[in-house]
Amino acid sequence: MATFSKTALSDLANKIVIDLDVDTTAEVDVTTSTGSVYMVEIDATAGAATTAEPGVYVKFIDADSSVTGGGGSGSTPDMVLYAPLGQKTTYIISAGWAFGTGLSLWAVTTAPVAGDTSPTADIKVTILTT
Amino acid sequence: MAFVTTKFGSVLPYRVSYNSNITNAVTSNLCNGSGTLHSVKVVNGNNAAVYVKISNAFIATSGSTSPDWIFPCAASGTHTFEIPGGIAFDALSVWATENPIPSDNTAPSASVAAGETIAVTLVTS
Repeated sequence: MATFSKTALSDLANKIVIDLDVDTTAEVDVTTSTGSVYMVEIDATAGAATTAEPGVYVKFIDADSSVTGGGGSGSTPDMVLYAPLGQKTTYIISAGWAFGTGLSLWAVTTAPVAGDTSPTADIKVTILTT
Repeated sequence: MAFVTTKFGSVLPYRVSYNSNITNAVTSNLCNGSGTLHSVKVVNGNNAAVYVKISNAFIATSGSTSPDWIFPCAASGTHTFEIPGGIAFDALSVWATENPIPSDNTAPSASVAAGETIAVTLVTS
């Protein structure tokens, strides 16, 4: 699922980026600019936590190209945010996490870089950024 | 430096764990068991980025354990990652390295003598 974004008039975080079903395939340079991430909401309510799949790892990298997402040749994320399945988890980042090249992300069910398994259920990620 | 953990009192369940200069030495089972993670504050006095890594596990090894969370903080930056409602954990093991990849075991290059400390504060309950 491709991401889409909406720019509002604001001097602060003025972009909302939404991916309705983030998975191991990276969404690359979702804001098409540099900026800072101020909030990430991970909506995992479509899934249910199981022993085999308790949660999802949403991984972010400051890059605008050559982002491979998960897998054996996966990109190394700069930031990893975990969210249990069956609930919404929100991360608020004071002062914002700055990305100087581009904001790219993907999500898998395991923590290692080589993790390549997409979440079973649709995971919606909403990012408030500049 | 080691983490120092203080409770708010006997009534409130919240705990503050503070490390005045985190390194790649893992603090295992920081909270002596399960709980809820509410926030992570990183004050990076170093002139290089730092990556605070947290594993939902009783033990972890820097350089081999893939952390469940990687919280980046730019050189000379301060970030607080707030988690409204919190995230339940079985145990927390915490460390920091200079590079984000889980296989990295490079200690942050902060020099205590030069005042380049990396302070980390966790709020849990």
